[in-house]
Amino acid sequence: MPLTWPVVLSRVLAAAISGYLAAWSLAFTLATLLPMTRASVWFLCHLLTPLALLSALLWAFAAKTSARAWGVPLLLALAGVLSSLLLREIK
Amino acid sequence: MKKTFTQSMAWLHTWGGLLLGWLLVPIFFTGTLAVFEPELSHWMRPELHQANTRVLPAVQASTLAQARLQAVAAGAPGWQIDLPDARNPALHIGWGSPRALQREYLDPRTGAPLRVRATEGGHFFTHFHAELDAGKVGRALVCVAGLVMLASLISGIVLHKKIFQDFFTFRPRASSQRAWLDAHTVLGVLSLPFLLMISYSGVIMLVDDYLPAATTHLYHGKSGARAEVVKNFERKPLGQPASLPALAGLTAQAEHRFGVGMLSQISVRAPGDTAATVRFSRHIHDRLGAVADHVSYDAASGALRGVQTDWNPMAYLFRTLVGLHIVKFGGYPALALYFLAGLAASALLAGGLVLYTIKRRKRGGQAFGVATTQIHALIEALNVAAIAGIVLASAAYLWSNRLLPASWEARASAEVGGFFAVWALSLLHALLRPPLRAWFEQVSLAAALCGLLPLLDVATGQQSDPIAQGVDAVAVLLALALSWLAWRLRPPHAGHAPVFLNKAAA
Amino acid sequence: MTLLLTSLASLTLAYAAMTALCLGLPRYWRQCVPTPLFPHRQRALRGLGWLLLAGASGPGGYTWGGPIGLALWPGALALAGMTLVCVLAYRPRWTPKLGLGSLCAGLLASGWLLKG
Repeated sequence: MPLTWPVVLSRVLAAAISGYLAAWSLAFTLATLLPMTRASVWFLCHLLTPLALLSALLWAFAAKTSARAWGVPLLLALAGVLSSLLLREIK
Repeated sequence: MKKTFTQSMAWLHTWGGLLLGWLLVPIFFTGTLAVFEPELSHWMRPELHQANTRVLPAVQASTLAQARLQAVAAGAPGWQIDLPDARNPALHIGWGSPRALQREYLDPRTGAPLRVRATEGGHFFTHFHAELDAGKVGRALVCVAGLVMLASLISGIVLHKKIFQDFFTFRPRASSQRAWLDAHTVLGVLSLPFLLMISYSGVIMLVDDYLPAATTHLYHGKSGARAEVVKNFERKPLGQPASLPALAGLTAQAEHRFGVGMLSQISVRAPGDTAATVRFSRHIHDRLGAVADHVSYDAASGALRGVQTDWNPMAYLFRTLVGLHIVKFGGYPALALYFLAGLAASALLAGGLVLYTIKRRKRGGQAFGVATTQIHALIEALNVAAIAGIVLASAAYLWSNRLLPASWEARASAEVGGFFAVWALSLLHALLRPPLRAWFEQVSLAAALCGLLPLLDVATGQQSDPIAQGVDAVAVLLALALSWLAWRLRPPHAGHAPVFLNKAAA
Repeated sequence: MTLLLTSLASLTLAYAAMTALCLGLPRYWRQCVPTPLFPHRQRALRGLGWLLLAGASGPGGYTWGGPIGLALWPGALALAGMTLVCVLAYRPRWTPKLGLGSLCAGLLASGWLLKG
């Protein structure tokens, strides 16, 4: 598939948007599920969300198709939010 | 995105590097200067210069500071005394509410207030480095730049398959593209631990402004983590006036607890009240973790109110990474190491930007369609402004500190304005001149401004001062490097070919 | 004085380490030394190189404690590496002698530092 502007734009937006959502979901998951004190979780989020954003950035351009570039982080984000909400109810 | 993983990573490395490189070179360069923020701030306040290097001991400093604060701010909500040390020899006091302190410098011999010119000092470089002088949006932008930097480091590793065989390879006499590629690669490989650490630690400090998820989920948007981690031994004022006893005694007690010369700051809450408390903070020069142990006393009775030397482990881990970034440890050897590493990183990024233009000039082609030539010209100009321009602007900032009138109230923002004005002029100059000439002219000017800094210091300074002389010395060394660069960039005379760039550049 | 000695010791040991590791790679040995690189010499150089690499963290750790010493160690290695790269590029024949000289300087500085 030739490298046209729409393809590049799609990947950049995938990195920005779905990556952002995945990182947001990670923070939500950590905040909801970890038994540590509030401040500890806050600092841990600061250490881990950059790694999530970085992974999403690399994935957005490494993924074979645009669908995967968008889909995988979004699915992970959804999975994270759903499982934390579920586990929170169980707790 | 492309057919293979390596190709996709190469694309990301090239374009992420190019587009964010114009931001990253200024960020890395000003960060390098920020290593010496106290020294630069001292250089920019000639009224504070003094020939002797003796550091005023904490007990004496507290006495002098208290005398002045009692005279001018007896009923203020709070006092702050920044104790002098080897890098910050001045006695710096403040009063008022913590967010809006009124500041003053005192003569360390007499305790008399000094009239010091208004300036942001070296702090401007730190501020620009972290925020691009653009507040919250700036911080988010720097965070994104840092993430792209990390992505470029990883994609760079993926690209460079023969990392170990070519570990020490640098072929300056080969074709210019090969030489530049070798230099860029070698600098990257050797600095990899430093680059990964500095980029990651920088991003974690800024991520909250880009992605405030943690603050939103845990504290509903307010800042609360710090208050939960740093113990507070203050108390509300009772509204009953009382005069503060001498601080010297408590200072001596705090020094007994933390060690002589180990205190960094004294903070008094409600000094004119019976419920006044005094907090002594310990400095962080002998530890990686940027956390200041502290002890608080009841001012009137001298009773211990509390001490904190233990910290939340997650907070300590975070602050250790911060400490690795801001390098307050290890004395001048560590500072010199970070300074050189920062220059190497700036050279790495600059090399990448230049490599792009060399490759494209060789390859020619229509990468951007009909506008290719103009876009390439724009890229060349942005390179000059991002690399030579930032050095020029920084030097001009120091020059403006001595050339603008000392008593002008608005001079602090004028100095900053001068920085941005020179940077803008650099871009304009680069757009109007052919690339090689733009490089040569701007690098030569930067070399001159740096090289003549000692003369400027002597001509406009007040006393010789070892810290200011240190700044002058480093400026001269930078000038030597820049002069060498300018020599290599000198425009070709008849029969002399340009050495750095492809022949088509002249 | 301590700071100067510590810096000198770690940088010279780091430089010696980098030189040893570099000369242990055939392509760089060929650049610097006319005689061929025999396997036992290669092993010796590599072993010495790794030993000195670890040792270069010693002076910093001694003066500033483990964590700070460890934090500054990769920086010393990077600086030494960059210097070596320049020597290799412009004066390859100097590499073995400079490496040896650096090793001696490093050991001397470390000894002096320990003596106090």
